[in-house]
Amino acid sequence: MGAVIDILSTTLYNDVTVYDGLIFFTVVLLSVLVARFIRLYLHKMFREKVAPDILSILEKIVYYAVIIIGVISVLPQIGVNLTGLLVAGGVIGVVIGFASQSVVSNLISGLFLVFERPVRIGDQINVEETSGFVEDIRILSTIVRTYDGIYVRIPNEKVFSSNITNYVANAARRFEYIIGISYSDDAQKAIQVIQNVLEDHPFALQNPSPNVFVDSLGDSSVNIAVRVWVPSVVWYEVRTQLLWKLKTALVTEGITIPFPQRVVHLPQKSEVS
Amino acid sequence: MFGSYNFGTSFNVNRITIETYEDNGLYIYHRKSDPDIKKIISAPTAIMVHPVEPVTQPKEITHFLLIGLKKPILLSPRSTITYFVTFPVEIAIYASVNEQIEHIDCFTLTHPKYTLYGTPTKGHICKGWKSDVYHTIPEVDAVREGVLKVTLHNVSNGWAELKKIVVDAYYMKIFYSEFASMNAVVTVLSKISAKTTFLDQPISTGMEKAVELFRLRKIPIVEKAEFTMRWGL
Repeated sequence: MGAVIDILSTTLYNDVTVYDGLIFFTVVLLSVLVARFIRLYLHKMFREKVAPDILSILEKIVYYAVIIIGVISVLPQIGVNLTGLLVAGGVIGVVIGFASQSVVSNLISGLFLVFERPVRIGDQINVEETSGFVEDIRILSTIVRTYDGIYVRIPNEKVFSSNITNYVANAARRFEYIIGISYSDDAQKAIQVIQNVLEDHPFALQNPSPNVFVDSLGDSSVNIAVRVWVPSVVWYEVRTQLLWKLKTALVTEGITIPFPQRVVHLPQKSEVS
Repeated sequence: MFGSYNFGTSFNVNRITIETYEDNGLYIYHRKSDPDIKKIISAPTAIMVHPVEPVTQPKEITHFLLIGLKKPILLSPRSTITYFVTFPVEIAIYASVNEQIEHIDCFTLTHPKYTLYGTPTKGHICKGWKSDVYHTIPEVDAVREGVLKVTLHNVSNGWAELKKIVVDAYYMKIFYSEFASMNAVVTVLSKISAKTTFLDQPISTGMEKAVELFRLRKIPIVEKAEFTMRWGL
């Protein structure tokens, strides 16, 4: 026992003993084990919620952060003066901070995007003037494929600080048509024809039910409003198909969709004189 | 109608004719319908006709099925009862070689209609269906309807009114003989919430298990999982 104490008390350098060295290595080992455990836990917890590439980066950040905190906390044990290190680290930190301000900003925004999840891969979004499908959410940028197939890389800071419109975040979405019919036609019949077409269309949702009503009496037509809820994922497809189906059905039932008309009263000859 | 057919046979599902034949050295799968479907199979394999999870036609946009009950069921507190309802049938065609199964085609004779369960912000898009409620296994038009046995447990201390059943197709276990069937359990938790799940058991003897489309695609599915109806019954 005495021999062991002697060995542990042996000075390695300055005031650092073997015992201090053992404490240092034990704490570093524990930090690695804790870091691994946290990484494993993060992986299990988020593997189905976070994209694999983002999760991988997140795991690495947390893993190395835990180890670095563990090592720094035990450095005084082996005689390393943290004050000097902090001063040097502070100066270097300021330099790096200025140099990588936008990178860090994008990185932090990327992390917030991962946790807040205003957009997901595959969503249809609009950020400022860019609209399209989200192809990828990376740690520094979000990749959007516009509707005309153009690759756009948007820095995460911009995505995070801009107004994001996500067209498919909600399960269902509504659109509206205004269909004008002739004043001489039966509006009730037209409404029934429209309702039949909507009933027949698979993606015109039963609930919330469509809303069809006479909206206004226009200059040349009785205007019928057609409000339809559809699944967000097929919203554009249905919106572009349904109008022609409605037009065809109305025409088949003898309902006319009038051109703008203007009644001109010409004065008689006698009135002129 | 459901079952296995050797290559070279032909059969009808109502007005739709399904046939497999050789044409100038090509092995053809042909569904005569509107639209007409033709596919080339590399070998003269047997084909299997099975009922499939009824959420794939006309387009697979959801994996939920909402069965609206034409007459609501009033469940007394702490009670259990079994009823039968119908569900829409979709028919899948598979090619099979050495127990390796591949999906070839899918169609339905029912009119598909979608609906929303819940709110636009928090709900789920569901394939919709309306059904009567039966006390015994009803007679169904097997090409259009299947039979869902529903065991209802009201575990709450109050009455509950059940107007709809929402189930997740990922967990469906479909069996077939002359008609398609499933065996579901609905556990009513309160006036507005319930859990639905499926039993891996046929509703009567002599029924065969249908191929599970989502398992065939190797989509990771949680075993014994259930769907929680939290937006009303």
